[in-house]
Amino acid sequence: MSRMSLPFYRRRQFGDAVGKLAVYALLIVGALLAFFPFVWMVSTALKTPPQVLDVPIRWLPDPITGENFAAAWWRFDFARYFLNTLFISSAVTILSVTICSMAGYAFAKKHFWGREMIFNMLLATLTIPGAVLMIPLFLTILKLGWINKFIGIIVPFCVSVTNIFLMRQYISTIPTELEEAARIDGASDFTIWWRIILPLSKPAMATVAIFSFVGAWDGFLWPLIVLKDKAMWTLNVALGLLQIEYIAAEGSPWGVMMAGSVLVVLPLIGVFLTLQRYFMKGLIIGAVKG
Amino acid sequence: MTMSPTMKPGPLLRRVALAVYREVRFNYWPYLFVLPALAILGAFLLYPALYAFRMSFYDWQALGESEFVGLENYQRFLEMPNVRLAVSNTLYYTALNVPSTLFVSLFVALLLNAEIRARAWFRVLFYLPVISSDVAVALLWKWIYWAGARGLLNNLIGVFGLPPQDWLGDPKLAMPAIVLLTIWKGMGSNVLIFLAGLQSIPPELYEAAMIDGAGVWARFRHVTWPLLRPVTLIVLLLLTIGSLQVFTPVFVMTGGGPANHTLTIAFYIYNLAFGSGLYGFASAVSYLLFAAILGITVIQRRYFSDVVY
Repeated sequence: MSRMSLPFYRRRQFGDAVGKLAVYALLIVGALLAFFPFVWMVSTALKTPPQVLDVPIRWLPDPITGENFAAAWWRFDFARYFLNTLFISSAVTILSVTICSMAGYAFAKKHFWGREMIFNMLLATLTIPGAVLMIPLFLTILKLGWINKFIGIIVPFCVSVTNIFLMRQYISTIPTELEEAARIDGASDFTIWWRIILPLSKPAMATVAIFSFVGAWDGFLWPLIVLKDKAMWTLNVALGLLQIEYIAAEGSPWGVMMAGSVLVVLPLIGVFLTLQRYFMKGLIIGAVKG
Repeated sequence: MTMSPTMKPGPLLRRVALAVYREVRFNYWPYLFVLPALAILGAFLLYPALYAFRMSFYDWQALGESEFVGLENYQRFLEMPNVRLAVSNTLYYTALNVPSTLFVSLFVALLLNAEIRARAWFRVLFYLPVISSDVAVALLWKWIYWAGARGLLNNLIGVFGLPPQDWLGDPKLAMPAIVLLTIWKGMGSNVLIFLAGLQSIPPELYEAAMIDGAGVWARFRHVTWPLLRPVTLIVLLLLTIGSLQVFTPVFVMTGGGPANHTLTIAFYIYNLAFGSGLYGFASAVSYLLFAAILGITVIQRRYFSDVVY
């Protein structure tokens, strides 16, 4: 308080005000740049075909039409792709939360032979790039007969080392006294995991669940390789392949394509907005400590 | 071991025996707990990675017999028609994307770290592109870049009297256009990582620097930047590793075109394997990419060798 003489303090305050104004101005411009492509996406999706091609462009559709969404949903079969994607993402999420929390519990609290070695090996696998796995994983799935099946998408990607790490970090903060109390009552490790660890690690489970769900919903390269049959496609595969086909055929099917994009993005943004505090937490733990 | 003795009544001998039994018996639960994770990671991560290594020494094609060819796939690497192009395109993409995303993310994080209202709202807005699906946003930007007068970007630059460009069809513009999309898409997560790093810097350091008369730049240069090094390393590694594997924007926006000017290594591997069926050669290319990524990780870590994790 006394470290600043008055004129300096006043000067700083003035500088602060100008600086703060500049900060706000830059942030608002940045946020608009981040947001406006989405406005364009939704606006295009709500336009009639002639409006989509209007020059000069218009930001607000007039009249607003739902025909692009209807066309995407029924004619282009996005209803099916939506359900496919929902099924795959939900299955991945359930498996991921269960498996990663079990492994996380063991790595956090149990002492067993080979624990450090196994855990370090898992961390080392983080350096394997996805591109290396593409071909051999495809051949593995081929051998298992999982081509064109949802299981070929779900099982290979339902465990991630990052999520195990996240669960381990969180579970290691749960006081050991609780487990010991249960053990005196004769509880097995499984009961302790089910009755004590799971209920107490809900925030970490939520984070893992969101990351798994979003990751599976976002997946593209792998479903593209595995799901050859049109009826099995996910939203992303449908969007990625149909756009090539229809731009070649019709030139500018952007109303329908943007409606399809909204259908892909909207659930993700919905999940993010409702559960964002878990998101931010997981992101920081995953990035800074990983 | 952290097992507590039971306090149930009973003959002393029985109690001792029970306690000893509890200490020495084999507890199989930890192994059961890690088994599903290890089985899946082993079968679908470790085994395929090693399998690819073996494949890279074979003339392994989709159809017909595979034949051991030693290092031939690796030797052929530079002779294959588009390999050099794929490598140089990928390096070009990485060289554009990594520094610009790093710079923009750090800048936005610094702005967000100022004492401002509605920080949470800004964070959410900057994070929206990150959460959105790769395919959907690549498609959206393909539409924004649409050639002729109907594209949004051409409309916007038209306001300043600039002629419309064929953003994704022009060999010079296509890659920078893809980079612009990935900066927009990838910025948000790096902003959050930087922000976490910034908020862990003790405010006393800034106060001390201000007493010494340090201005905004001096405070950044001598307090923020040095203390942010560990976080910068992480962002740098994540960005580089991701950039070297870029696939989806290329697939959706250009298909590698125009005239292979956006052909990247990952897209090339995909085409080799699933277009031409050259699994063995594609595996060799994958392993060279793996080696490059490991090499870069090691170099960047060495450069930041003072960073303690």
